[in-house]
Amino acid sequence: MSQSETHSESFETTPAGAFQELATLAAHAARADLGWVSLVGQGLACASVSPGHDPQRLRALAQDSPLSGLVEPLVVLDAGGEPRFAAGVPLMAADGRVVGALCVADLAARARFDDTEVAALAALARLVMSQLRLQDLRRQHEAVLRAAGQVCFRTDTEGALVELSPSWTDLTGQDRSAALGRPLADLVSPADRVAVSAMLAPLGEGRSERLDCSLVRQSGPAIPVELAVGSLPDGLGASGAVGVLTDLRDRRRREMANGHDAKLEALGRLSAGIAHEINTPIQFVGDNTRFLAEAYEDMMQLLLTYRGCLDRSASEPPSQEQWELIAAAEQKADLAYLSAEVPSAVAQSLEGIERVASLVQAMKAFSYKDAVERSYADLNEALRTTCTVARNETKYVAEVILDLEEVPPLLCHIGDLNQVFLNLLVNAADALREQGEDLATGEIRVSTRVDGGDVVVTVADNAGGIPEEIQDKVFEPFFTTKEVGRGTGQGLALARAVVHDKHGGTITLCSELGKGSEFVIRLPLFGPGVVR
Amino acid sequence: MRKPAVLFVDDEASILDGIRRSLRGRRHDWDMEFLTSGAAALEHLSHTPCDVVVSDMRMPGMDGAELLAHICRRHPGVARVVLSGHTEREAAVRASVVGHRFLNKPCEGDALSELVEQLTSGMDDPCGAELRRNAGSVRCLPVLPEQMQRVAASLAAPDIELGAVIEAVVNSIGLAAKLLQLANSSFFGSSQRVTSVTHAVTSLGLPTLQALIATDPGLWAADITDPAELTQLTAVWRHSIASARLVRELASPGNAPYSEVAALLQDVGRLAPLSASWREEDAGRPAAVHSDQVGADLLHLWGLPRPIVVAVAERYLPKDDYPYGLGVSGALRAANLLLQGTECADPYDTTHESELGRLLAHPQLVAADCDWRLRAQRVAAEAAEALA
Repeated sequence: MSQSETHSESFETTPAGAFQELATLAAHAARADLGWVSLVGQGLACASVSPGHDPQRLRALAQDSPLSGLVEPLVVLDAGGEPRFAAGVPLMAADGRVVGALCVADLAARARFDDTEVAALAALARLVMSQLRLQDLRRQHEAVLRAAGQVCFRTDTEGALVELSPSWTDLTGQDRSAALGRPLADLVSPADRVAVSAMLAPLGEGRSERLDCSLVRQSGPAIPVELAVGSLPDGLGASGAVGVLTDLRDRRRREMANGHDAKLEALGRLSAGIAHEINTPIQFVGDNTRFLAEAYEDMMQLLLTYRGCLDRSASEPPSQEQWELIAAAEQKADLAYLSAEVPSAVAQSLEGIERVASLVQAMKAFSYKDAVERSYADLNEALRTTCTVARNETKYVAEVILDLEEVPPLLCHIGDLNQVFLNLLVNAADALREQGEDLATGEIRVSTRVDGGDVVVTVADNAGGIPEEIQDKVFEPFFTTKEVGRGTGQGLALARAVVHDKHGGTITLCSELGKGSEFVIRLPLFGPGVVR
Repeated sequence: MRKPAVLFVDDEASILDGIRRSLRGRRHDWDMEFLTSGAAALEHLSHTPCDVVVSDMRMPGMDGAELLAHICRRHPGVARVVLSGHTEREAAVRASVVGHRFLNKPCEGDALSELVEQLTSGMDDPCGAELRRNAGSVRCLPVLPEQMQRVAASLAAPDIELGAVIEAVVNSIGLAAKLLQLANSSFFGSSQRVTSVTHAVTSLGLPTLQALIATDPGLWAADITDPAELTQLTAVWRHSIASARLVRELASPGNAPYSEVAALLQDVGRLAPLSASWREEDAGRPAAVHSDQVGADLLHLWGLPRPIVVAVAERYLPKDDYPYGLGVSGALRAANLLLQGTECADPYDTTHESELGRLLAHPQLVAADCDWRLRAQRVAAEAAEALA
């Protein structure tokens, strides 16, 4: 514990300790009773080395000494007052500014104080300056750490924290003393512990590693951080590892906002298409219903005519006049037409209602809000849903062929995956539209299969393909080839984030100019945290 | 006399079945044809006369905008109606430059049959077909480049000032006419009659206006090279704008909005021959007939409120008596005759002193206690200055 406290001190910015030692050294070098360092605007670090003298009195002497404001070395062998002897050298910054003085003094007068002794004082003054410079660097370093939301640390060979920068308190809101001396792995969430210990243990010289993990706190939510660790070379200095913890909270918030933008963009575009998909059946269901109301009216008239004839002639056959009435009513109702059209109007209306209902159902399933935890979902069902939702985007440019093999339920964030599938479908449709394809020639093939321990989902189109030179750029955020206003280039970046980061899978692109593009998503069936 | 013929085009057969059934009551009044593709529609039109075509916008192969553009060129006498379920602005703006009227899917009960009724009325007039061919071919009315620049500049200002936008639109008569056409269709979200340019701009929204003028600059171009023609046209413009300013004061409060729009748009018939679609396809076009009547028919086709259409149609028609107040037509006639003595006179008309005297003696104008001739001079001077 005491070791860790000393080490933690060396990260501090308070000057006192180091200057005290240098003042003592100066007094010894000059064989004087008193040595001190005075800094402009910061006061004194005083040391008296003669046991016979009263330290309080000596300190008062230093305080009052005119030497503290020196700009050139000065030696006074016999001042006649108190102190009788005094010598000092200015503390000079690199730019020539005088920032203080290193001084020595005696109560007794001296016979001589030669150049060698003045040179020794000047050498010590330079040491004081390098201390100051070191402190300055530390302060800068600390300011940078604070601004970047970072914490510097060092662990010993056992992985225990031996040094920790003060920004730790800013990051966690907790005192450093609670963390120093403890293994770093104890401070991260249980899920990250194994990985963090492994990272700190076998680091060879010059190696460095990075890992995203979360810091747990006694109170408050865990903090997502990036942990970067490098090994220290074995030698005279500290051993073990040094590293930086970077606060990822802001970055995560930004990523979420961007992901949200991408989702909104896709949804905005979809909702226009869905409005159309709903408006169409509503139009003909409305028309058919109006027709049915009219048809009912005509039929009713006809029925009433029949009834009138029946009432009057219960026992005898209808008269000629009645036959004519019936014929006129039948002609008005156009029975042949009604009997052909009414069933068809009813069937089409029911079909239209079914279309709207299934679309609304798909919308509900599609926009299913993911819980934070993953849950088991049927990928084939999800793909069918997404194709329904995106129908208006694809239906004029391609036939969508579903080639879905039996796949086991997958533990996943299905809402996020739906979004990925949607982006791929919309991209394929856009590519086909640009190519001027239509239903007869355009094709989007969506397939699923199991390959080893992975579920493989592919979305392939037969549009123009993606030029080789941009194939590795398509997953970069904000990369887009679409015209302004058509896309912001976040779709595939989001897709990779979802597949890669959230599911431990891969998404790759195979494309050949003139033939088409195929996106292949591999999702491990037994991803991290799944018990086999 | 043949029955009015109506053609419906939609790639969705169920839509056509629904329309066919719901319009069954009109089967004795109209010849109706239902086709599922643009190509089939063009083929049909090539051998069968037709008065109104109602088309979906989004269709595989030839889409609605393309089909209507073809019909505009080959069969300008056919009134073009867009029936679309689309909600994006982009699609709406594309439709707006090829269609005469716009209906939303789903459209309300009798809206479709009422619309067809309106568009086929008056077709038995002997010169009706000729007029319709002339009016029907107009997609956009030309706007002078500097007028369009003024509109664009007012929209590009860092702090957009609605007043400045509206003034710029009013002075670009062709644009004002298009905005009133669109604002009067439910397609663009308005369910009420729109009778002023201000109302049109606010109900369509500035983004739609922006999209509209950006859609295809060629559509709006008034490429007038002949200086005599330009002088003539500028005079027409000046007259319309002065008349709109003056009639606002002459008309009764209830009729003022209609009168103002009628005055502003009274000469769209003279702009029509300069429109891009007239110039690009001259072959087979009959010589322009009665440009004042073409203007009225154009406004009718575009769905402007009836009092406006009637006032424009009657603006050269002298009337002896206005027993029930001036109305829109009387107010417009009075404004035009007053302006004949000013720098904003109608270059195609002469003075009608005795008729003007009778109009100025009308109780509605006497009651205003105003020297209308002097007022007309002032308004004309202001309008000329505003346009300079």
